[in-house]
Amino acid sequence: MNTKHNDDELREAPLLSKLRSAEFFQVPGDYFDSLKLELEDKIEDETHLAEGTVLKSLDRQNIFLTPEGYFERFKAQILALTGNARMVSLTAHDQNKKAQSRTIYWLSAAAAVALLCAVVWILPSTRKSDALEVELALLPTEDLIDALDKENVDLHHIVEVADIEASYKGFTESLSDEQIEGLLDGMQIPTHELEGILLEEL
Amino acid sequence: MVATTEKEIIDLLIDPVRRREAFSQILEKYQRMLYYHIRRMVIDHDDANDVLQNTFIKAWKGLDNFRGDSALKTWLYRIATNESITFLNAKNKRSFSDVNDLQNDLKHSLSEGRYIQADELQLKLHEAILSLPERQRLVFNMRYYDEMKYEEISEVLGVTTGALKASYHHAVKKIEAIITGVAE
Repeated sequence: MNTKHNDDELREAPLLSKLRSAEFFQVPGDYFDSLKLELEDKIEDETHLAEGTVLKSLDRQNIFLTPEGYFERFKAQILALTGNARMVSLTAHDQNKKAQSRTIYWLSAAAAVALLCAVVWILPSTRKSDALEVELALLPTEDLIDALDKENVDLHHIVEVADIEASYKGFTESLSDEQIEGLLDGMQIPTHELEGILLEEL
Repeated sequence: MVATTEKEIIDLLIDPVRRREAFSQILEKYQRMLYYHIRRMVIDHDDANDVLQNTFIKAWKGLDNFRGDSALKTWLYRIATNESITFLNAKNKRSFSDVNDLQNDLKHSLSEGRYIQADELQLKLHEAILSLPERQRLVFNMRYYDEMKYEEISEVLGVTTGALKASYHHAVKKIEAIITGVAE
């Protein structure tokens, strides 16, 4: 209920409205300042009172022992550990964490090597087969069919032969018919053998 | 110079050349205090040793983050407390399905473990302490055994002093009831 609403309700009761503004109960001037401190002290007193007879009668005895010379050795051990640039944590939890990091490191290294192998070997062969397909596409279909009819001929061989034939054609085209005849007569080599030689050399 | 007060140790820590010397003094001054604080939480000596080592290693690594806003003692207590809780949580997760199993395991370490010297009543007291919830146990130990001020415990646990007083009050009542019941 907001104040405006209250004021509205009390419009016809001016005395009640006036009394509302006056605080009936009074407190000492510094009461609220000291209350917090007083309460804290009281709680503390209560706490101490609540420490019953048995608990009070018990010595605050330390029941836990350590191996002899433990603290001397411990200090030296920690100083040695913190002396290293790479400080080593001794719990199994941290050791497991390190083992996991090592595993991840080696897996990453293996993956990198595998990727490198793929780049070095597999990718060029893929490119090679792509290049082969391009070259085959340039050949006349009839030539391809003829070549494939022959036994033991692979696609690489067809492309090689096609390249050689192209060079051979270039070579013979630069000669006149008379020059070719003269060449064949002079060498006494049958035409089909000359083709064979040219193929081998090229 | 051997720094005797916390202020002197902090001054040494600021100097990179003398930092290790300061850390050595921190070890000297606080190792026992922190060991028993941890030991009362994890009970077993070997576990306490692991947690204490991690506490000091973390403190060393985090020296740059320590700006002296809080007291060195409460800063170290905070690390030790967090390490102890982390250790107990990991142990519970690793070995047990129920938090009561961990509590039983700690009670077993109390009665059967090495490096413990206690009569029957002292054992009952520690068993009663182990029956408290983890945070209440911490509050009780720091107030009852280490006699720390509520303001210091508040800095360690990040809980208001009012809440700490109430928590300690309840803990004392519970423990008193348990050991009185045993004694009767």
